Amino acid sequence: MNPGTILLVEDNPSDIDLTRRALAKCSVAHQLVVAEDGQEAVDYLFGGKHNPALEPDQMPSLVLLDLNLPRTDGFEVLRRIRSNDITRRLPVVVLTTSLEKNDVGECYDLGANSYIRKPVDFAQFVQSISHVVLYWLVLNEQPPPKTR
Amino acid sequence: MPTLFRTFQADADSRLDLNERLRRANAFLEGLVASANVPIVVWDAECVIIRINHAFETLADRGETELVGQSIEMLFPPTLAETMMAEVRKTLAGHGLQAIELPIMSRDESVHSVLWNTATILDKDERMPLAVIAQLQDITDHKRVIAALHEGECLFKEFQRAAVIGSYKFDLNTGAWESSDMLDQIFGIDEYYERSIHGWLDLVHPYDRQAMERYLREPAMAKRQRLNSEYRVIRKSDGQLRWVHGLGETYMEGETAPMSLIGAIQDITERKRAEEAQRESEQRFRMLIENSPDAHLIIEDGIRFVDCNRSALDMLRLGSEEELFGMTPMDLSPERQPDGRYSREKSQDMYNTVLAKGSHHWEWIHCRANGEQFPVDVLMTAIPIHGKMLLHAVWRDITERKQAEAEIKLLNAELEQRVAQRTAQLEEANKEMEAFSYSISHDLRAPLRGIDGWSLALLEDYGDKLDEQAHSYITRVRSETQRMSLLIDDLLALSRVTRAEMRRESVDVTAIVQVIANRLKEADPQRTVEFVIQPDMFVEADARLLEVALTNLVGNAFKFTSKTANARIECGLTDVQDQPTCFVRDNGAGFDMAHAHKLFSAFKRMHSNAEFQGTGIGLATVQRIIRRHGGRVWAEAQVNEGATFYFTLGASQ
Repeated sequence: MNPGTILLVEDNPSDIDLTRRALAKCSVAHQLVVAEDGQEAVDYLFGGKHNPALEPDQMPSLVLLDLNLPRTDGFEVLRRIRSNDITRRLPVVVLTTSLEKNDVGECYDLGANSYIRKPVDFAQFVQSISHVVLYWLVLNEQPPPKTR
Repeated sequence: MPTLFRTFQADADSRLDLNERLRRANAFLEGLVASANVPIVVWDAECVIIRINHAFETLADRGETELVGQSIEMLFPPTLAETMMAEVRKTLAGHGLQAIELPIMSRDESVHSVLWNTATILDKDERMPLAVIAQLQDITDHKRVIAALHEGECLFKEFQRAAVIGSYKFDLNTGAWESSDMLDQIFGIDEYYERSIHGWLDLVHPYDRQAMERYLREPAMAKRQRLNSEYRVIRKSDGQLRWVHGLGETYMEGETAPMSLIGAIQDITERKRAEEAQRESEQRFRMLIENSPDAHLIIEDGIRFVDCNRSALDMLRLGSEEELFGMTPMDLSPERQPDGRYSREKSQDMYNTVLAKGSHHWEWIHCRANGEQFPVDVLMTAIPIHGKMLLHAVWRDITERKQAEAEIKLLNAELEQRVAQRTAQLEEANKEMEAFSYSISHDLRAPLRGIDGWSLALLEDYGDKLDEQAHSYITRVRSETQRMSLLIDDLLALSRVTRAEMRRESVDVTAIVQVIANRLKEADPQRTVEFVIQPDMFVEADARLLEVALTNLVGNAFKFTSKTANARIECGLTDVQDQPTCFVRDNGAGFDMAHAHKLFSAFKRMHSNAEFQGTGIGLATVQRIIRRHGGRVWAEAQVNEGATFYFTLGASQ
């Protein structure tokens, strides 16, 4: 059975690679799909110039979403995910550096499932990622995929 | 000798017999008595009435049958009868009454004043009285007239006294004059005063003397016209000046020769003084209004100017009052007022308000004679005089005030615009600041995570190829990265303190400090620190900000006692200069007060990082929080003796 995908929305190449490294350390079988900005993430999920929209059963098991992105920012991506019937139930974990109260609040208001601050210490970062993966992909019961 | 008597004598001389002569004489006397127009009564020696005539009957209002045979006493009023009878008896003794007044009471009990004349008829020896014949004259009416005259004279005197009117009579031929008592009082003269032309002129005030003299000396015929003049006299008795009003009328003897000047003189000094005071008062008011810089105008019937002062003419650029009096207020108003209403219509509203309220105040645009429009402040008062309604208008030219107002308005608008600009700029700056903080939070931290992450990756993937030295360098890189991360966090906290909205409420300081103390102890369980926290400390402050400040202060105390045995941290409330003041005291490293002025500046530190780690932002944050509360923060310290930080929280505490 296809182990599914994790969608990482992140524009910092270093963070992308570090996240990939951290995920590798947790021995996760899921395939990591990276969108380097908000628009790319939206295109990937809902279809764009170069690709059709994802089928409901191809939807990622988890979205790791950074907020501070060029062009379409993380809030907009979250808003789009929650306003679409197919993606409404996707687990979205905001993974960002910001600890601004407003940001945290707004993310929850928009329907984020979780809000994690990326620690500077890489060891702590790896730990955080493994906690998130363990929780959302193993412990948590996945929402059933929506059909069109 | 009267003819009648002569006839009688002639008869006596005739040869008629004695009887015949007696009969004739008797008839003659009878006729005389009976027809006489004067009352006649005859009584005998016993005072019994024996004869009356018709005139007497009328006087006594009784008939002959009632009177004849009765005592004469019945004629007198009972109360006076005795005295009267004494008089009557005297007549019998030969003492005739000569125009003696004895009253008579008629039937209706009215008393008549009567003058009595009597003749006593004696016997042939002329010794014994036989009868008395009395002829009476009723003077009742005469007496009434006399009494009335007397009363009139008294009244006249009273009247003179009350009105302070004296009267005089001037003999124009001799120059002598007579004066009434009241006139003497007015003139202050006595009976010995020289009542001549000279004496008269001497009374008159020198200012008026010439005119008086001219009048008195001019030909008598010229005085036929009535004299009527007001002049001054000097009162002789006290030298006071008195104003008098003299009236005089010449009386002619025949058609041509004036005989006397008769007249009245009234003392009008009080009236004159009142008039003078009135005139002065009026003049004063006139001066007040005339010299007022405001225009004063009197409007009659709401349309016609009837009076004004100089300022009104100046204000309207008019040459004379006459020009104004030909105008109505509408001639001096533009067609419309600034609010767009027709002047005619709006002014009618204003007049109605004035009439209803008595007085009203408004602003108006008027026109000068040259057509120039100018703003005035109008104060109008309704003044009812002699059944007419006059309007008193005071116009104040408020051109300058209006200009000033306009200027102020303009300045205010400019100021407001500038404030709006500044506010926008500030908002912009705040937004930039926020964006800046945001980017610090994201963009500065991300590379740090990279540095740390790849350093670790280096260790993990190539650790076996690196010597010990290289391992230690990489550890240094990672610890510096951590420090940088802390610095960013603190800077963010500082900027957040500045931007955060403040909301004062009652804050439980004891509870906050307790939580902080517990957190610190848990984070560093090896340490033993004694916390002394005053119970029930409450202050008015923003809870979130105060917590940040206390976290810094207590955290500092915890940090700087890390090398002190028996570390003790105390937190309490005290009064400093009557201000409730919070303090956090420790017995740790302390610092040199010589550097106290740098204590609260960002990045300034009292200790090296080797001694105590820190970013140098904590106290800057504390100061910013305290200042935002309007309070003050300061410290007292000694090296190795500990430090005490004090702060107040501003006015609302």
